Amino acid sequence: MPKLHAVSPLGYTTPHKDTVGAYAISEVTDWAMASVTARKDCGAAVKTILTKILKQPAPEVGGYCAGEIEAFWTGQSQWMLAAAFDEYEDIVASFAGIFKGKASLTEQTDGWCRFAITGPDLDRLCSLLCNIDMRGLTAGKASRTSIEHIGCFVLRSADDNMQIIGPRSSAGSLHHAIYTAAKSAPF
Amino acid sequence: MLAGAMRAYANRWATAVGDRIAIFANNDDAHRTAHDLHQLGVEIAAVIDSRPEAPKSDNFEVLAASEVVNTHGRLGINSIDVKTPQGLRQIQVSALGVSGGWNPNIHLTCHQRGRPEWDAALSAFVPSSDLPKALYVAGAANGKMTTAAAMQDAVTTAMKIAKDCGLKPKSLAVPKTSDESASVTPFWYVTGTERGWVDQQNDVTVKDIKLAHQENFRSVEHLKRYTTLGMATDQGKTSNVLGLAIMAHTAGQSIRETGTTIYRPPYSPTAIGVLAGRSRDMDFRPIRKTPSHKWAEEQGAVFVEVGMWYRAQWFPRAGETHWRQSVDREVETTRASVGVCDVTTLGKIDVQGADAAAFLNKIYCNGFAKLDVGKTRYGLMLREDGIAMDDGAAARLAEDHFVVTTTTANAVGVYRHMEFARQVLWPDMDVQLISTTESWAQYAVAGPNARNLLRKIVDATFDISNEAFPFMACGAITVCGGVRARLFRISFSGELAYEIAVPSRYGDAMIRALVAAGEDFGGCAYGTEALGVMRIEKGHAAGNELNGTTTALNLGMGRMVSTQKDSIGAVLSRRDGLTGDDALKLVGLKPCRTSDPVPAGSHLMTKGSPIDAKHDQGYVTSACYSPTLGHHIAIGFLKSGDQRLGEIVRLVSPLTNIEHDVEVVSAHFVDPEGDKLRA
Amino acid sequence: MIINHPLLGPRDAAEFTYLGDASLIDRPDGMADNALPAFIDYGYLRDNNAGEHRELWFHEQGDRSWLVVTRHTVTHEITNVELASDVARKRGRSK
Repeated sequence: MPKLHAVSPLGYTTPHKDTVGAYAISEVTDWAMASVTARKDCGAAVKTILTKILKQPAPEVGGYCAGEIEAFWTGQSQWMLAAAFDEYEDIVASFAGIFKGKASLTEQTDGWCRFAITGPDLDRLCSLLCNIDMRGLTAGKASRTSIEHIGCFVLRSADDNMQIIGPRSSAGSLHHAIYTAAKSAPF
Repeated sequence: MLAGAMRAYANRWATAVGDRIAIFANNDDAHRTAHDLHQLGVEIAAVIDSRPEAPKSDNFEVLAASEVVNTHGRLGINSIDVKTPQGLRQIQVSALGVSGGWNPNIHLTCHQRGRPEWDAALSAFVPSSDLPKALYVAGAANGKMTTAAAMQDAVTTAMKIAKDCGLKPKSLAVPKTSDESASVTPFWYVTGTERGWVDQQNDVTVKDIKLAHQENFRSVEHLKRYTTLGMATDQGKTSNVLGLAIMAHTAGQSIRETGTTIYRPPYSPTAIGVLAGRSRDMDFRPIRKTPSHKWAEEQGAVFVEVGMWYRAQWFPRAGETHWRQSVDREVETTRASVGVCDVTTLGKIDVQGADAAAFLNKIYCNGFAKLDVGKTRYGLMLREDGIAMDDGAAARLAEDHFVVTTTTANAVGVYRHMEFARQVLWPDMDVQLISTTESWAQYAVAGPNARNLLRKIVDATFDISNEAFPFMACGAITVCGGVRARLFRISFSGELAYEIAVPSRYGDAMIRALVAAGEDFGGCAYGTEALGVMRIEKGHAAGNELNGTTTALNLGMGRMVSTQKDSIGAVLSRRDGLTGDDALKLVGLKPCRTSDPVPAGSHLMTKGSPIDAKHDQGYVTSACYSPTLGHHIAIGFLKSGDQRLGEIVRLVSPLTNIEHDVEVVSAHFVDPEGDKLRA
Repeated sequence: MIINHPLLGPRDAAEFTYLGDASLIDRPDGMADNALPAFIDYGYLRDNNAGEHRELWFHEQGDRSWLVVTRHTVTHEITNVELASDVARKRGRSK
């Protein structure tokens, strides 16, 4: 029986990394991710469970909690929950027990590509890519938006550190957009 | 050219547009142009002023109460004919500047449909007094045409804005400026000439405007569209008022009664490239690649764009010189043994919650409440107006968990529609939705050897025999030694077939594993063309049939629309107009002479009837060469088609000069009883 | 145009998809005796006013909320934005 080897969204056997001037753009593949949507009337209960999992308050509207297990808000009573791939590859099975039917969990791990971007002046870099109010997207905030017609999440963990999560099929186009924007620096 | 342009060239860019210039005007400001040019050393041949009381000059000749009635020269101007009270005069010139006075820049005040008002004293349109909230206009834009008046207006308006903001402004001194004359007397066009140019960009003449009037295109909006007046890049800045005045004069009414068109952005002509930015060529829009893309490229696949997706159309092999050879081989191989096709692009929506089944009952016209866990069912989704919207398969993974597929093209729209139903129509249902299209790499494995192929991939702990995993079964499995996967026994090709899904990161490895496993059976990969051929042979509807005009009844699925429940579109699908005896029905078509094609888009006519729209009986939606049958086949819609099997009808395509006989047959060309599916 | 999302605050209109008149919330009962005429009205009859208009927008590039936006059709001024699910419940929709 053949052995199946994984590839990254950009098609590499190991995550791809680019350095463009002062910017580092790195493919991140070691996270498993699941959507967590509260069942009817279970919003508060699910927030309590998330708080327990994250060991910090569950993200409010537009919020992002970084950490060993992380979560960001994606909609009304809906979050993405992410954890180390090696430990949580079957992330839905890993967390189904603790949510006890109070939330619907759906595996999202391979639906997305994820790029970590570090460097100066990320507000201006991101302003070339999308129309969200970057000055309002401070550390601990997340927003869904459109980058070059690609629906993405933008997460901010620090002034000089952000993550862009986009659909896996468009990884090449999204990477090209970020790379091109970074090449425009200094703005 | 415009006199104001001559002045700008001279004052701003030190450029003289000619060495001997005449100016034809009806206002004092044009005399300033002549004065400026003279000061800069340009010879002024004459200023021709239509007004009897024109200002005099010591520096150049002014011809009062005069008009330019003709020009001479080719690719340039040599001389002009001037009608003066003393008679006709010819004047040698190298350029003629014309000036009709200034119009206020009222464009911004029109962007929210403000209607400019005619100011008779100014002979121009000024901003409407009914301005949008928080919009103030001052200066020349507000009809204050001299510097001093503009300064005064600016101060007055600033005070008003401050007061409206709740402030108590100190009074401001108005800066002192010279108050040059801006006197103007309307003069709209020269009579008695053959052609008088009105719109210099679009070459609209006085004659054109009179013709518009004669043809009854008299409203300003009609005048504009009939003549193209004001539709060039200057958007009528230099010609609109002139044109309206001529129309008013011709119609014997005032300019106020005639009215004006209004403006939309942009004010300045904007190059499309500025708007496009980096969105050009291959960067025009993103590309979506399937998990097998890299492998398909290595095989030399020919790709087709489906929305943003790139899908492999066919996989040419050595010696194949025509696409049909590749496609025919892929179909024949699949039907004879086994074929593998990437179907990842189909939309997948995860539906969970205590009311998940009840929700799908609302969304699909057919029933889902009684679907067993571990089973898949075909679902047809209607728009609320009763027209078919999309179709797919819904697999029940648990009592409260389904995964629904949509067509590639409609994935986004169907998700939006389902969210609308969930949030707006039935907000208290316990149902949660999320797209999982890209999480899974999904491959169809079709053909008599499909199960044999999968036995080499699926871990032995899972029994995929016909008894344990029958037609329409679904379930979670593992493959290749423990990789999580989902298996669905569904078939688009009409063969014994499965769709197998693995997390996308394994998609590249999976296609290689499936194709390698298939080689033992002489199998191959197939692309979207072979997929299309096989679904036409099987008579399955696809986008060409779900074309936004067809109902379940037309598609031969009328009885699927349940009357036992309230699903979207069910009520309006039963309207009289959609359910007549002569309603279109999906049929198969085969040529009477086997060498004839049956091209999509052709129309169907009863034999012997006239060939015209009135006698139209239907049309061909999907067509292909069937390697299985050895001739062309098609499916399409025919009035009362289900009752006309065996009838010979006329296939016509006047556009391509095709006209021949075809036989109406069942749309299920291959395996009509479905024995292969269940094998 | 900026839509002031009730949860997320001001967002560019480009992130949204437009559907139409908010009267689409009031879907008739498909099993009622008068269902056919009721659905014909529901499907085809719309007011076409120059002025305030309540309409459905979907925050597709955002949190996937359906919204009821009150917009002036002449000036495009937006005076109110509500979650469509709240509006629907107030209008008696349930399951």
